Amino acid sequence: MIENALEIAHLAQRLVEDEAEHLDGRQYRDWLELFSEDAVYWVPLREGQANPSELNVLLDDRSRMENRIDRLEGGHAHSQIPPSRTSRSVTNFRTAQESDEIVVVSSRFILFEYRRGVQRLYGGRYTHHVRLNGDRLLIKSKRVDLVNSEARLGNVTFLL
Amino acid sequence: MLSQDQTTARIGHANQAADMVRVGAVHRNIYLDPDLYRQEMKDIFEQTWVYIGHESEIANAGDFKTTTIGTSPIILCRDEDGKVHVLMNRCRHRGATVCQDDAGNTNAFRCEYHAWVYGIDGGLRGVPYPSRYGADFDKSKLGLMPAARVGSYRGFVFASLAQDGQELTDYLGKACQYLDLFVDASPEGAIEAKHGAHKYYYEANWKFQLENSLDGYHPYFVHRSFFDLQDKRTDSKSTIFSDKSTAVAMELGNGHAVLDQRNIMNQTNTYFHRVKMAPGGPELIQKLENERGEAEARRILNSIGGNGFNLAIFPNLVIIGVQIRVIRPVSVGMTHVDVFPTTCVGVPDPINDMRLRTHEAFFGPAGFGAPDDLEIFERAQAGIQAEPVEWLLLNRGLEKETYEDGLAVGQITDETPQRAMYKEWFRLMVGSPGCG
Repeated sequence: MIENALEIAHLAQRLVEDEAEHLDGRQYRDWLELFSEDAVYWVPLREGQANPSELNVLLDDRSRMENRIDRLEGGHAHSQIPPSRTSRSVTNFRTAQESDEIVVVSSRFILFEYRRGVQRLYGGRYTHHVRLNGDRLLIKSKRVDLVNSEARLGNVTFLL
Repeated sequence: MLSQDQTTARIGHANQAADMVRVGAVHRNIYLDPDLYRQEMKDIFEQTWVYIGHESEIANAGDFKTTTIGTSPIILCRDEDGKVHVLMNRCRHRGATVCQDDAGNTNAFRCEYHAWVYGIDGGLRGVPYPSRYGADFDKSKLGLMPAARVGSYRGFVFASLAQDGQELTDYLGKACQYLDLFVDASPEGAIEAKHGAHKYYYEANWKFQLENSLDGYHPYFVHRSFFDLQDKRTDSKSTIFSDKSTAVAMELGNGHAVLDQRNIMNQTNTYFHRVKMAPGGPELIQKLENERGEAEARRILNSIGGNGFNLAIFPNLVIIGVQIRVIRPVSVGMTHVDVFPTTCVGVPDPINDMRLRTHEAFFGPAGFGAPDDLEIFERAQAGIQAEPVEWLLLNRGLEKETYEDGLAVGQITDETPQRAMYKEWFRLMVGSPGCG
């Protein structure tokens, strides 16, 4: 059992860091294992957007996250052939207990992406809702607020 | 147009537009030559009707959006009397843009260089320190320059920078019936494009997007990753875009064209399957089947993603699924594309929300479809750098298509639409009835 809030905060932050490592390692199946069955992966289109029913950059439920991975691994997703190489730093962690079950982890990220001879830079805020599930923490939702979400985005078919 | 021998004889030493288009083929230079690009801006985008925006984007007095006609920056806005204006976003004094936002609401456009202020009808309201101007300074002649002609059809606003030319409805011609179908998907005959846009760029010529929007040959190859998934997840097999399909590709006149799949949309459950794969989709299907029965639920869900056709209105408007797609040339090798998903007035929110979900799932910048198209456009732009290979082939279906009222009708995988586009391109660029 996880005993106290400090330990939960520490483990939740660690979970977000593990997630980033899986993404940069393109270990998609390991990445998916960090999420709960009712997980949501959301990239809003507008700054401060409150409602995912509005137009988004992407909105995935668990099933669509699996589809996304199948697509990336299926060998025919031309926009990811060759795949983007990424390296992200996640910093400025803030952790808040939302309920007995849910911890909200907010962080900032800097993401370098390299593909076909061009390096691009993305950045923004991650907001993870992490659920305490017995002695395990799972990501219930991941929200990615790109600083340039409203810009003319290029190919963001890799995982943010 | 020239015979093949005449055309061949002129290759290599001439770059004139007339040498660039043959029956069933186009020369690589139309995608690469900056001079031809500049001529396209002048002879196509400054001559013909160009799509500007949808009236729902500027529903209220003072609403505006900024966009371009060719490479000219413009403002689309609505004045206090409800009149729609298309104005150059360019101060008449020293040239700075007077409107900096993509969209919004205002009661004036103000140039921040020397504070010249224009009304939302474009009229010049005032300039600071007017005493130093001469007697011939006439504010009434210094409003924001309007487009020569502005027209609207079912909420679609077009403008032309040419004083003379066809009326808008004559220009749209047979395309009107498809715009009607798109708008009449709403029981109230009104759609809304006010949900924002997915905005792309790609480093290739603008015509690749126009051609590809009506290309029924590419989906199973460029979008194989999507169709593999859909077939697997829905236990079905998509067949619309094969050479056995009964769907058609048709020329509509004036460079417009359509891929019409309506005859098989319901039997292939094209959009039903997309709903099934969307977040919240299975729940919506269950709810509708409980309320309306399976057949009616399926009919409704098949219409959520669109009307079963891809429509191109030359040179810059495409309708696919629920979206209004606007093609914006930036330079010979750079293109911007704005994609506006629409919803239907008079339709319950969960249905309209699902229009946005199925749209963003395929066409968003992280979607399972559109990014693969953009990748291919850039590969095409790279490939046609090959100097010794001059021609791109658009001859698929050429010998098999039929004609109705002088307009070509082909099978959905034929290059009938692309030939229609280049017929109009030739007419505008060369000034004589075209080729194709």
